[in-house]
Amino acid sequence: MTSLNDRLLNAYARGAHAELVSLYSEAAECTKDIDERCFFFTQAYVFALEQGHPDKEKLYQKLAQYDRI
Amino acid sequence: MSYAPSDPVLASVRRPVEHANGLPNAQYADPDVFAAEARAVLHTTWAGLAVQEDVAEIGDAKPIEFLGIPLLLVRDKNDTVRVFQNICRHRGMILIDAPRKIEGAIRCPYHSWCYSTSGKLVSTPHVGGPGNNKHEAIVNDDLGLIEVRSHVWRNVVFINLDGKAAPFEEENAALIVRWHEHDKPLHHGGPDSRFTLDVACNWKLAVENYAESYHLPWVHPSLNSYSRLEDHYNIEEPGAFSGQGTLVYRQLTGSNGATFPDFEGLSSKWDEGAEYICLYPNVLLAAQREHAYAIILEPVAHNRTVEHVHIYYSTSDTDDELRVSNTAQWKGIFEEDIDVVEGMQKGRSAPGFDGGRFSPAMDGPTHCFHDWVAAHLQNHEEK
Repeated sequence: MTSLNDRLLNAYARGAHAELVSLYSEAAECTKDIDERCFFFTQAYVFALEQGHPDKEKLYQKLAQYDRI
Repeated sequence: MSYAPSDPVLASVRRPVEHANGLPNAQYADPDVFAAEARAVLHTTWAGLAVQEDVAEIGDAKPIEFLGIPLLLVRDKNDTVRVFQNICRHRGMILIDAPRKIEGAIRCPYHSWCYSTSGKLVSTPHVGGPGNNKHEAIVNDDLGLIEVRSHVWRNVVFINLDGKAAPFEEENAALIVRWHEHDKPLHHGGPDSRFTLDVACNWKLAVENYAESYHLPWVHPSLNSYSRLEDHYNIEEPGAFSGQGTLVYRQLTGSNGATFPDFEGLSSKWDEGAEYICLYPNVLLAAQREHAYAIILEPVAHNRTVEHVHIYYSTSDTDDELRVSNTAQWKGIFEEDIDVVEGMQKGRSAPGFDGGRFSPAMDGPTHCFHDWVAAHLQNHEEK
């Protein structure tokens, strides 16, 4: 996770919000804790919404699956 | 500050032009009066805010502060220009601080509540706790962006801040009819056809100066060589607009004899005729055979106005050199007016000035505007 954390911070520093979509999605897939997964999926979903990213519907469905949206 | 309907100062402004005085000094020189007047005159009417070319493409967003109110001009995904208050419904954070394109949603930089370009609240991340994006107390449909009533006419985006004015087409029916021949697509000349002038005067002085032709031979002697005072006529539509027209409009001609293409279908009246009208409160317009312009007066303070000038043509394909010359010509003319409007602003600090007296023959358009302002001041009750 340290490496992923560094990549996240780096993407934030560059304002690379499209990258945050995939990085937060990756973070979500790295944990089995549902609350933690949903936290990361939420982060990914928000940046996908902002960017009009093609993953936004898929991420919405992930959160809907856990009744979190 | 508010005036009683019977206030003698306003009553003197509203007398016939032969006997009237102009608006009192305080309407120009007092910051508190500026704020009160804005609520009475600029919030309650259709004020010019921007032009639709400020958000030329779908998704473009531009923050604009108007009378201290943070607004957001947006062209939504359906190609409709909208105006919102530029704040998140959560904590009142400013949403967008510089012009940019919205690729997907408008995301608040504070807690990332997201809005569509049509203002709908579409996401409230973690609002029900970490990873939970809903809460029964937060109803998205109730928490969209606060939209400001707006209307686009002649490419100008007008807003009605208090939401209570009559519909734009009703309020401005007389000018829409008067200029119905000019109801044509207007093509903005682009970056070389827009400029701003930052002027140390109250916004009303810019209106008043534009409304009358009386000053032309003294302030614009170059115009007088072909556009003499006697070739102009006054335009007065009480309660709506005023200005001046000319009977000897002369097109700009390039060194090779080229001119801009005319707007199609105009009657012969416009061959040598042109009109320059102040659409109350703060938009100055020109209708001419082959180009038009709009000047939006941004009232920044009681003694400061930014004039946003935009020049339009009948086609998007105009000669670059001629277009640049045209911008330079208008900029030069408008700059010639700066000394007099700034001089009048300074003059409003003289306690002996009583608003001044009007030339009944020449100042009708100015008096028409003063009467309109005074009527709004009389009718406005401070809440």
